[in-house]
Amino acid sequence: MSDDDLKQKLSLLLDGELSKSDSLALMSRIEHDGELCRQWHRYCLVSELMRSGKILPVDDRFVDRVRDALASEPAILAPRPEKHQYRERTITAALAASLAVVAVLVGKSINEYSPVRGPELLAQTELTDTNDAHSTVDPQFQDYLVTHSETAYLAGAPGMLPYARLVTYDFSR
Amino acid sequence: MGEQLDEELVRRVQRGDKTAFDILVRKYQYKIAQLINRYIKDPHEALDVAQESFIKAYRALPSFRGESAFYTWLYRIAINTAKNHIAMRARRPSEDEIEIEEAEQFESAVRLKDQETPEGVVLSEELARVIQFALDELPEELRTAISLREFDGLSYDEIAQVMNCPVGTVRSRIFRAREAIDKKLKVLLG
Repeated sequence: MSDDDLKQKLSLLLDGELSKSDSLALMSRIEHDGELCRQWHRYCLVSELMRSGKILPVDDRFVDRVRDALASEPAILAPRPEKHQYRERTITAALAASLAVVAVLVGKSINEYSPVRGPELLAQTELTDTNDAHSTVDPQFQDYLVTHSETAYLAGAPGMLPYARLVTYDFSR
Repeated sequence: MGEQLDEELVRRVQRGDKTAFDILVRKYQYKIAQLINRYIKDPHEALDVAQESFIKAYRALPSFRGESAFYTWLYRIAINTAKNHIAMRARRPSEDEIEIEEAEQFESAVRLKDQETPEGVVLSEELARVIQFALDELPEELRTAISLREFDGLSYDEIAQVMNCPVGTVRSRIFRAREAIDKKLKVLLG
């Protein structure tokens, strides 16, 4: 790579227009190339001065001083963000799976008592009415069934629903 | 692009690579120093506080989750460090038990210290003068390209649209403008 190509990359790096891999390679090179490092400093200085109109010059030793101050600090070994993301993804997937299972169970429950089975139930109703035409339903019991018919299957007692529907079904309508 | 680079560097630091942090410091040292210099005018003190900000950032990096951009996070740390520094400096007289008569002098001394140093002002003005001179000497298309980038903060794509030329030409023009300014600056800085 020619000197001009390298400097042009430096210019692109300053503007955030260089690819990630090229940026990393160039930044690493700056760390080991004194002239390139000084060039980078001058580019930064010009950029900041043009933007703000005044400048606090940062000396070449600034990075070294920070490095020296951190020399006694232990290297960071933080939990990797990927693991964190993986855990979040796992939790999300587990929640989604649970919801899917609930949806299937509720769907199945509704299907068991869906209107598709209406004629069958109607037949049972007619049969019941024929066989026990004069029997009367206890009004208190009927109230109980009607009250609970809307929420019974949600509470996990689907067996009550068809009966509740039967006793509240008005055939004449 | 810049944010992706920062994310990668932060990940490396979090895996124990200290040299990646050197790169982050080199990348943002000017921005952070200028930012702190808005609060603390003394250049030596401002650079010390900038250094302290980077050290605090390094120590806090294990808890950095990338919910904001690295620079935004670093910016907040720098502002807080500068404010804490000013607050601590303001408390110093009472801690040192300075007499009431001396306190006024101490306060004015602190205030004086906040003024920009004459050397700093001269250097800043001289640099600005050289850059302006270099800009004036640039061919029109180079001056426009670098001005749109530095003064107006436009991206390369936006500059290409404004100047009605390919992005590659924008890259080249901005680089050539920087090189021309750099030649003049090199002479001044030695």
